[in-house]
Amino acid sequence: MSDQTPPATLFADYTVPKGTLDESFSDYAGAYGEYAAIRRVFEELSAGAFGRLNESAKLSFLNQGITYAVYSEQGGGREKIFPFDLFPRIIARAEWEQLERGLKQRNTALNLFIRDVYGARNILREKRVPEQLVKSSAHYVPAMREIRPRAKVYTHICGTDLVRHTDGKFYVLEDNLRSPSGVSYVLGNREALRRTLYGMFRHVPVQAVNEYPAMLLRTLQSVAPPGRSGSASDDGPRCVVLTPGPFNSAYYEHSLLARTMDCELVEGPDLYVDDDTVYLRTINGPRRVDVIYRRIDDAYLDPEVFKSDSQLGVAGLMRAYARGRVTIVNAPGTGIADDKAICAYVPEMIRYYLDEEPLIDNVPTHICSKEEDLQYTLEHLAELVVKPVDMSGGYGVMIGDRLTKEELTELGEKVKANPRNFIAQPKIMLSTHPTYIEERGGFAPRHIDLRTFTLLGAEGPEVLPGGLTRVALREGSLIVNSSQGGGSKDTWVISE
Amino acid sequence: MLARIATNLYWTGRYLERSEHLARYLRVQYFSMLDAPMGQSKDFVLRSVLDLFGDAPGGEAPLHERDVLLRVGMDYDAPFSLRATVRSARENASSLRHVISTELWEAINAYYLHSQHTDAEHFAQRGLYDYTMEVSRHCAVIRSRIDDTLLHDPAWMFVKLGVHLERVAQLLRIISSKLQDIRVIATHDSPNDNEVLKQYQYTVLLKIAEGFDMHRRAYRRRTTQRTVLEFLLSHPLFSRSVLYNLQKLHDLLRRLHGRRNLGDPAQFRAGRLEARFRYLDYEAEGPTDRLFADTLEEVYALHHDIERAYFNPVTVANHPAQADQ
Repeated sequence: MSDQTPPATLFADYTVPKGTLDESFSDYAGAYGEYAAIRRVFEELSAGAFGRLNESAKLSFLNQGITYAVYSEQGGGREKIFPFDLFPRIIARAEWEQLERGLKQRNTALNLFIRDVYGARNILREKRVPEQLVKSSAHYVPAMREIRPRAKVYTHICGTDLVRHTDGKFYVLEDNLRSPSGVSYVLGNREALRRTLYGMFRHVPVQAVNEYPAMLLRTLQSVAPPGRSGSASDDGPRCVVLTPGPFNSAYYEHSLLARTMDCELVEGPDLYVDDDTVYLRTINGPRRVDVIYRRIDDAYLDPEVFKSDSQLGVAGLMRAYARGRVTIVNAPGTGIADDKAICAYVPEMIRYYLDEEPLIDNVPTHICSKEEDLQYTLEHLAELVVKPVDMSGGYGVMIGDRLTKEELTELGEKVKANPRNFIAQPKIMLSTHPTYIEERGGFAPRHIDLRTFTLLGAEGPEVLPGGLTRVALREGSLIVNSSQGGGSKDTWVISE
Repeated sequence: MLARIATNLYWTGRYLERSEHLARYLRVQYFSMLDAPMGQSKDFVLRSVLDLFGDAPGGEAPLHERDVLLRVGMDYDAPFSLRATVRSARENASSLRHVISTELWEAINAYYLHSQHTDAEHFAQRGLYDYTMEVSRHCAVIRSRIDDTLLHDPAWMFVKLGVHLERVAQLLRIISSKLQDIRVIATHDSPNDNEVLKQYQYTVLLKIAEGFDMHRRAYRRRTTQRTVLEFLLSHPLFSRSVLYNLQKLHDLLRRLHGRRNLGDPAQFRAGRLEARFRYLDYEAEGPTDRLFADTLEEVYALHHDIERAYFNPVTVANHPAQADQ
């Protein structure tokens, strides 16, 4: 609690703002009980000693090369570090087990939904999810009607964003089903913390995260085309990571995953299709490719099917995919379920396909394409958060109580003009967590969320323990995205 | 290894090597203008510089020093300029960060940043010496990073292939360009001065290849056309001789292929070129213009052999999307 502020300098001015839940100081069901011990480690440090640790963590990122490309003129290219905070976010074992079950449940239902939408369409015919919403999604890919992916898996990698509300419970903010990124920071953050505060790991049993590349590779290999998995072929299934190239801001992650899975990192022109089979151009001639973990959008995958002027993709790829000669991960067209309007129906999907109640609730969502929801949204604009349905990275998010009267009117007009494009949610007060603020020379509460990573292979779902805790570094800000001034923390799941 | 990665490694090597030769040529030529025995005409040197960079000046209109220096040194829009060459090297290397060492990448990046941050006007007025000396220093660091921080595996071999092939090409171009300079001097009047001037040009040529001192050690006698050309074309132990680099090329191609094989077009051509310079008979044929022109063409043909063998090993028939590219 805020009135128990410890005397040490680093936490001297720490006050939890009214109406927010602080994961380290507040008392709530499921809270990790040993946060005080972690704080003590920091309390024992002088400001100078902590400053040195902080610098050494930064250096760890530079040395690991975990940087962002910042675009500049003349292709100069500068690299920035993604801000990292040394105070780990900790999730108790019991709560994590519950979350893990919920995430598996969610991804299983999402996968069944996408399969249904591109197949039998039962959920649409029974009007449990409005057909119009699906068909009007920018991410609907008609070509997928004809294609049956290997092992019936569409959503191999799902990045679900969770937030903890003031009631202490986690809610789902959204699912990212196209190319969720950020896992390289999970690995980098853990490494940085191990290098700087290794002493803490001796006292707290923390679940490892460095298994992720192996988990991902297992998932990829499990969905290789028939006859290409395991020892059946000469050298096992060949998996590659397809990147748009070094100018992409997530290039570091693409290159890290390729390296740690021991796969080739390829660009579109490295691949070609002959006789509906995908090959890699190597110095020793062609090599067949079985699984493509692509980090480019659907629209760029194959100029024969999508954007005809795309240089990033591979002509004929969708033909090879349709014949089951190659597996694309994630399947094209999965983006329909990360449309924020459709996301609101995930609890419905869970009930429909699994006959279960959702273990993790959605943040209540008003879908503006529904007449009564639109009405409610327009009447309560000032209390709501309005989001465009198909944008990511925190772009286009409008927080009602931070807008002027004119801005509210303008927003109302925009929503009315194109209701399908918007959803509205009550303002969720994201929980806060102690975050070191350099200018203050101490810790202060900052809002956080949690991006989780769920994998789905032929053998079922698996969840990376913890995930990426993102921090909104500006005081009071609720936007955690790295493109908008966010940082991150190591996330610990206690293992016993 | 991916064919694209091999291509980028090779071109990184070529652009790095090219930038170094161009910078050295520019520096030595330019300063030879200042301390030549007779005070050579500025126009003469500027034309020679433009010629080597591959931007032949049309007509007899007098050249302006500042314009020429800015163009060959600092002009990003001229693809042959020093800056553009360094940028190309870095662009190729930037897609190789998961293949090459951090040390090598940082050295290439530092080289690029140095070039990028050079003030163009300062360069043209009084910074030419410093800039080109820095180029040599950066290139020396990069060379050591290539040899001492990479595994000497195929990735390294492709970089070295680019380095040695470019070095052969640039040496041939530099030598033939200087021989042309010498011929121009010979057609001028007053034969006595010409002898001195010609002599001086051979010294300049050796300095461009950074071989002046080693030439003296190798020959211990007066510098003549014969000794200079023999040294630069066929000395087996001088790392900036044509023969030395052809030997390296031949050897690298053999290692890449896995064994000695005359059926491999690249190996065959490199071997034949190597033999030509190993057994060059100065008395009988002397290094003629023909020899330089023919050899350069062979070197470019060797480049195409390498390209066919390793960079586009796959040609896809009936591939509609590729027809327009």
